[in-house]
Amino acid sequence: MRLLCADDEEDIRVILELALSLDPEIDATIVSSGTELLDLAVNQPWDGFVLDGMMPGIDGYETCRRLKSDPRTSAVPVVFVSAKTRQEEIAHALSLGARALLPKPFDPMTLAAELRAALGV
Amino acid sequence: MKLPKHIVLPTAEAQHTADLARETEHRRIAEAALRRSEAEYRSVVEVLNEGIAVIQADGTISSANQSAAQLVRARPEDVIGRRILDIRWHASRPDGSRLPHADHPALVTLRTGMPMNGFVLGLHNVDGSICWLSVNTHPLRHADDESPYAVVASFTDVTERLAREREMQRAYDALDELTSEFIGVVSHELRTPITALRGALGFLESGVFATLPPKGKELIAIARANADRLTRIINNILDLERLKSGRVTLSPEPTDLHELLDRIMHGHEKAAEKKRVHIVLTVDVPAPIVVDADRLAQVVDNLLANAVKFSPADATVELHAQANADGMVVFEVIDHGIGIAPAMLERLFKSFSQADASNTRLPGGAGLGLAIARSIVEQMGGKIGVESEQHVRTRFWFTIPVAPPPTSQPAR
Repeated sequence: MRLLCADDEEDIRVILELALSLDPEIDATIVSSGTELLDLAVNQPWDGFVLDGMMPGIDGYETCRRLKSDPRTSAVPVVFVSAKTRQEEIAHALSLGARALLPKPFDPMTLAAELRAALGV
Repeated sequence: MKLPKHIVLPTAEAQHTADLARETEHRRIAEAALRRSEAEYRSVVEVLNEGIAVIQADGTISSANQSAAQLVRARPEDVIGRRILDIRWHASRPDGSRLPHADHPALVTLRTGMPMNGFVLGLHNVDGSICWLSVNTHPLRHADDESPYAVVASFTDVTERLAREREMQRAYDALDELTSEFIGVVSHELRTPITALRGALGFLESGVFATLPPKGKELIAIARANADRLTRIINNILDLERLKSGRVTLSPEPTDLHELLDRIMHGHEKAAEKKRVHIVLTVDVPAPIVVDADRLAQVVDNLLANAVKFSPADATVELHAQANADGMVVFEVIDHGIGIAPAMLERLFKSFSQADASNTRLPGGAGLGLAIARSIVEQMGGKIGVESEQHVRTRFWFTIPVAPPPTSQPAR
């Protein structure tokens, strides 16, 4: 299963990569911005997108909106992994078409399973 | 007895004339006093900063002082004798909507006979300015009449006061928003490094990527537990801020209290067993109650965790829930730990207040749990409190209604 993830924090990208590597079925590509994710999103087939909320440039919310409004990517499930976890922030993410918002900090040992459940893949 | 010759008694006619003269003189003096008193009162009314007007039952303004005329940007002679409805003004309510003439407080008092106090209306003057007035009205009645023949209206210019209040409200709102934004940003900025920290420690503790010697494992476990603790503190700060600002909406639903409390109790059994503390649960609530179960669990969890934490070894912690006759459920969490000094009891439910900052009375807490508990209970329409006899017994209690109040949102 191919997941495309974006997070602007390098340390978080390392943790994400290790956490997802614990699940042998997951093949994750991790990029550092919404722009990079949007470029890659249309070039290859993906089973899920994983977005950070706050990112410089095109943030996670705008990235999600563009993914959902592009017919080439709109059917691919999106999940946020974000430190912004207020009710209104969760509601905002869901209103943009995301399946769920997993809060940071996360348990690295269970993240892969939680992501799979949230993405439904 | 015979009167001396030089004393002549007045005739009845002369007596009557004298009485009449005396009566006339008394009346003259009384009338003069009345006129003086009336003139004095008139002067008092004239010098008042408050506008005073008398409006007759047919709506005619029969008198108005200088201030009253000034408030409507007119001279008294332009106002007196006119009907209140003839004057070309219109008034607004504080929310900006138009106030119908019939709802003018003077006319309401004339119609209902009831006085009105502090009715605020905005008067749109002919020069385009709006003058905000606080109006009091009082009905005038003849002795036996039920309906008033006139109404006295007094009005004070509150334009400046209202402007100040509105400015303050705007400042409060801005501060509120700023605080909320600040807390949001700070929490986000704190959570990001904790995510990396928590992630790295989680991997090390699990041993999936590297095996550590036992002492190393122990140290990593401590670090991981503290990263979790930091996360909880950040979450609590956020939660408290949201509860206090009224951004939390409760989701009440029918809840089986026995099942809920049993589940909560089991969650604390591990910590209790470590200290050989025994938790006793009694529930005497006949039917399911309508409550936000997650938020209720948050309150009970907090109280129970504290009770277990501060219990000496081999002690008992009691958790009771009982419906009372007032339609409330009373929850109690009782422990037999060191207790709380009387001076500290009042501060206990305030944010960041530890009962004793100098020792470890509340280890592992930033003093937010009880403040959160209070916010939740109050939003549910209940009360929370504590009684403590040091080293003997500490009883935390709270009440919540069996059915939630019609609006679960707190007043801001």
